[in-house]
Amino acid sequence: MTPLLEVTDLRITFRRDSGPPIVAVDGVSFTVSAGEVVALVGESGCGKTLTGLALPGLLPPGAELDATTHIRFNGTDLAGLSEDALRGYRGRRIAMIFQDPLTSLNPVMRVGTQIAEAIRAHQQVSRGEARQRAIALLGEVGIADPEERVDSYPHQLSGGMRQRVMIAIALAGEPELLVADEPTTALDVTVQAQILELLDRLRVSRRMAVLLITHDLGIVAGRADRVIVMYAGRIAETATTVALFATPAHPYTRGLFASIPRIEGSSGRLPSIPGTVPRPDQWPIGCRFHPRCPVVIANCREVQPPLEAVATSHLAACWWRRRRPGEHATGPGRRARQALPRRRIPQRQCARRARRRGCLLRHRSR
Amino acid sequence: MRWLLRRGADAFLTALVAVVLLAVVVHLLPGDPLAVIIGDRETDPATRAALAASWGTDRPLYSAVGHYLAALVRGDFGVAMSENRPVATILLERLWPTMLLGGLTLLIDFTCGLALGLWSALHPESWRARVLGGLTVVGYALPSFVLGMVLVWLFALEFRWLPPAGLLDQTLPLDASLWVRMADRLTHLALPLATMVLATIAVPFRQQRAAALATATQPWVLAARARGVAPAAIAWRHCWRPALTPIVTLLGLWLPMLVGGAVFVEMLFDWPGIGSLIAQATASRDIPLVLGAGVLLIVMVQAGSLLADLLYRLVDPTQRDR
Repeated sequence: MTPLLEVTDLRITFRRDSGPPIVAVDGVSFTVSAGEVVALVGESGCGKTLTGLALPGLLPPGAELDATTHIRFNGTDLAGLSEDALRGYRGRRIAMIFQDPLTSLNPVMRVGTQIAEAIRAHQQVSRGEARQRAIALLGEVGIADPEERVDSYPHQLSGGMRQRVMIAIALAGEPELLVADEPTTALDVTVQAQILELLDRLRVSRRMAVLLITHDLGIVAGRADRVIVMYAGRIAETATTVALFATPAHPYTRGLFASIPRIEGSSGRLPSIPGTVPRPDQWPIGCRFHPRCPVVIANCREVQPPLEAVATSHLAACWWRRRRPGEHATGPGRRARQALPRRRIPQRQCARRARRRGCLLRHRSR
Repeated sequence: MRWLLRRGADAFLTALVAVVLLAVVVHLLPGDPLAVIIGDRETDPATRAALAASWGTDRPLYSAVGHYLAALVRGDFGVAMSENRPVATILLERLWPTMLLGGLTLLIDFTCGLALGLWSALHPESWRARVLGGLTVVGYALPSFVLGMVLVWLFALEFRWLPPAGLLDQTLPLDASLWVRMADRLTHLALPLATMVLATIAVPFRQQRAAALATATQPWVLAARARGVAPAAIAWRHCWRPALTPIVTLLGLWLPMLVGGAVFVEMLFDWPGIGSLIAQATASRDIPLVLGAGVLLIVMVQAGSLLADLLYRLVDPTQRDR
């Protein structure tokens, strides 16, 4: 079966007036199948938002796709399409929701009008009918009194309600793929859970595929089928959610896990990965993670590690796994190094570990 | 509704304070106000005293201001000293040429200026937008009388296409057809109007461009693009419409121009409007006339800001809930 979305060698460069162009996303390839939930995880500045924007051709001014990039959606390469042709995909086939629901809604337009706008962008329907559908959509995303709320302005709604409106707008075109860029980051924790719950429900009822972009591995657990971990414009590791939670192969992924707050046994400072993601014009030679990595060997400083299979459908880009016997790691964080697995973990332990790391295994395997 | 009442009362009080201040300042102006009437003629002290008593210039300051306010309440603007005619009549005569000039200027500024501003914001990189931006600054930086004189020299004296000054051609036969009269009015209007527009269009243009540029980078514009909205609708509904608030402020501030006119431009083009009236009246110390024109301006300023506040509520839904 061909996947719904197949991104090959996504490379996004920013032209500059002076100096060489900056490569912000550097050769990212992944697929999303119909109805699948794929999480794109990484810290701010790793290129995950740009990746999401690139799919429907919404890159900011100055950013360009490389000629070798292909974004195949149902067989059509979106990378080569004109702005006009792309407009037919936006909202209709690929919808997006954004991080900040406060500013993602036009403050001077009624929310109903904005939903109707999304409907009428792709279908020839009368204003009255669009309004009726907007009311139905508001009801579907769980807004009480949709007949009244349809005439509200964004400032009259709470943050969670506004995100629900954004979701209603995204549903308006009945898309096959929903790109959700940090959909809950700006919301309260309780509202976060509700919104994620809603997205889950809609995904199933509408058979949408979801690309969930987030910095929070905690919300990935139990929601995504697969996880792609990005670091500094490249894929560091990709695996099924269960495998990633059970046996993270890349030191960066392990660092992300270590920094998820846990309710039980919260003692002392939360461990964090030292340093920050380098800016795209300051990416180091060799593995881009090596200045922050606890397990650096000689190769890491010189050659970029390729994305290789660790297990079936589990890829990671790390030299540490291929170290020669007796080769010792250098780098910050002795304790983090001690946490590294030394041998393969039996399948039985795998699921237990995953559960402990917050992966609820609610997902049925497809 | 209660908001409107409160806002109206505010406007009235502010206008009252402004009128009192204006009256005090005008009465404190140095110089002999009776000089307009007496001129160079020899007068004996008795005649002088009689004149002063009949015009009320012998009153002390507080009494003069009080009398003026009392007359205003009755709708009496007094009598102009220089022309011996009621101030209200003179103001009305002068009002329509100014409203014509000021109104058309406002109209052009707020249609062409805004359209060009929006267009420049949508094409910030194009050379046309840059040239346009530069030209409006030149127009704004040049004093309006310099700009006016250049235009007069070019179009009235060199090319002889347009009349240099005045409201209409006095030599036009009385039985001239409507079209001829209209054409005459328009040619007389062209130069002062062009001067006014060139001198002022930079402000709405730049305001609109800055406002639209600021909204163009707002997340809701990206969100609208992401749902497949057409570019024209993006420009209109998501860039222009939310950028209206600063424009409304500007409109409120500029409404007084409708009656205040531009003193320099009206004088240069011998345009019989309120602007040139104020200049003449001030020069000749015609106290009732200066006061009358001043009161008119104050009322317009208040009306302008009241209208702007009303428009805010129309343009910005967050204002309505206050």
